[in-house]
Amino acid sequence: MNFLHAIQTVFEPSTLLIIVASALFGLFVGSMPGLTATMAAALLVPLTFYMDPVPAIGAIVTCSAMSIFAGDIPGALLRIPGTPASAAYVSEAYQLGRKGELSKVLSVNLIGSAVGGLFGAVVLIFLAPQLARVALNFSSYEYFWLALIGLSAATLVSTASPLKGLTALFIGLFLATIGLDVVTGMPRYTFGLIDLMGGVSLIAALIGLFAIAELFRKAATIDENLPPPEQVRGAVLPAGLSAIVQYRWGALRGCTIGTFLGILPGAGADIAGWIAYAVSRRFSRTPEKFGTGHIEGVVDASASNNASLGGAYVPALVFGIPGDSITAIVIGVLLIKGMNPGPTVFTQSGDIVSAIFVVFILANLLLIPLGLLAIRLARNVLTINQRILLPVILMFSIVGAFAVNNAVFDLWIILALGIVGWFMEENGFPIAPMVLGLVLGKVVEESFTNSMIKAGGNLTAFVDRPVAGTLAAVFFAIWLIPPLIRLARRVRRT
Amino acid sequence: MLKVSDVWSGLAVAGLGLGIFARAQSFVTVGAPAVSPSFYPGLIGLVLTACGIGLIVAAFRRAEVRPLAEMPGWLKRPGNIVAVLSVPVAIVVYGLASPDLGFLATSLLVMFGLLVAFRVSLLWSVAVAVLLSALLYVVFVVLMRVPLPAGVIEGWLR
Repeated sequence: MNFLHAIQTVFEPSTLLIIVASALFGLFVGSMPGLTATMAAALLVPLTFYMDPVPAIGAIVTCSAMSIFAGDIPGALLRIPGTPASAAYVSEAYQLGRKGELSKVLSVNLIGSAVGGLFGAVVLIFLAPQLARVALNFSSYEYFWLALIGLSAATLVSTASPLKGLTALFIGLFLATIGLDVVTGMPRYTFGLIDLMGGVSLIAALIGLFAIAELFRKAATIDENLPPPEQVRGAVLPAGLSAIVQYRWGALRGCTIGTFLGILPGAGADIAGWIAYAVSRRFSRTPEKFGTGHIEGVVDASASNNASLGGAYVPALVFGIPGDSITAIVIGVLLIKGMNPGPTVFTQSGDIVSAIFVVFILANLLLIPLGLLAIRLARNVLTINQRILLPVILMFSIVGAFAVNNAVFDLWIILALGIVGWFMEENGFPIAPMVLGLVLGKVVEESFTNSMIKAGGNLTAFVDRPVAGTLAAVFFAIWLIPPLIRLARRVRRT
Repeated sequence: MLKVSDVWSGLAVAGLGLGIFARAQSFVTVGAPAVSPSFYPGLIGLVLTACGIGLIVAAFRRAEVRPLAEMPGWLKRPGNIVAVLSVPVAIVVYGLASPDLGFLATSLLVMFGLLVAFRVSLLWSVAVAVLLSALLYVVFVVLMRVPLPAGVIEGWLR
């Protein structure tokens, strides 16, 4: 991999312009309460369709890093998390603001996010190529088990109700079966519609599930006005430096937790924030101060949620298995660009992978100046009229979904999946496993079918190879150990 | 959106699963059953059916006291009903009208309608509709060369 060439590619004026524009877009979306980082990425996809791979992925990387940080701003100012990733410490941050430490908490959010993002990026840069070398020896058997492990982790980790997560996952897997069968070419679940022969458009599905569903939710609460936010005064950056230095080991722990959870499929920035905050409290010397406006947990969690972004790219690039819903979108974009996420991407598209690494570093460095700008402008952004903003986002979603294939049919997909996504979220069914199912469905079926054909129907071939056997054991352990532990506890109690 | 008891969600999921399984049985079987086009979706259908039954059983086990469906708050406020309904109406109108009217005319129409439905003043609605349509036209058609549907206004611009 040639990093010099990658730096040249990323620093081309047109690519830089796209990165800065997507950074500003990410900061804007992240600052708006209720609009998520995933939604920002999904809205960018139609635009990336017409870009080269490096600016396309660079736009999504930058936009997601910025929006995860920006979600902290309304959290501190209004006690409303801009994105779910900030939810864990929103109360703590708000109380710090009420104590007159608004600049300090926002500074910690900003520096913590940048440090976490850089940590995740460094792990990605060093770990991904090593893992890819190992993965080059994988066959369809190993990919089959890896895909199943990814889907299982996504289902079990991302939701309070594993059954609802499993349901969402299988609805996603079903959507992936729509279209022509890969082996026989037979149409499945197309109901005679030619538009469905190529399957459900991934971009339309993403816009429907993440943007339209969110717009329905926001339209239903359009009368709820935000309280007037406070104005941030004084120098912001120095205010939090001392806290970061004081809790440096906590920040490092947050970075590690975030990166690890990012690598785990399904557990993205949202969960990383919660777990890092909880771990910080567990190991704090002053746990009684948590919840009263104490900066310690904010340091850990701010670093953790941004660190998870880099981690999530490890399984996405190495195995083609998304670490979170944003990398599910990235895999979709890579596939559209003719790249096949997996270990071969490091040899066949090494320059692009290096450029993605460079973008990660650049995005997290840009976070400081652009983040400071966002903090200064927060009051103006938060008073933007939602009644104008929501129709603008809807129109952009409509035109974006239509523009990708120039197909009216894609609009029916965004509408149908928007309603489905809204219904599911309101009733406790998580969306992320559904998207992972949609993205990984074909991988699971193809690797299973190829393996069955190779093995002549002999199921033992799935566990014959050492790595495949180990992965199979991990898969069964994921599903069997939790209920066995529960059963053992119940037996012990009785 | 309507919040329903897991009993109803479970019934819907089980129904979907059974439908997927039944439809899969109509696919032509080629070669070994495990590699036929019906195997994988059939399996998905069965798991979804099991999930649906699981949701129903879990709801009964919890002895849910909540009603089978709860009326969402937004249905009590006419302004919110209009805002929610304007989302699907905008998508449908754009889908049906844009091939004939062209992008710019449809965008102006849909944006204006949306903004009015969201109770934005008429003057602001016109201004935002014109500005956003022009911006989208420049970004998608001029800069990215996406062939959005052309109509009367696009004809004047050429």
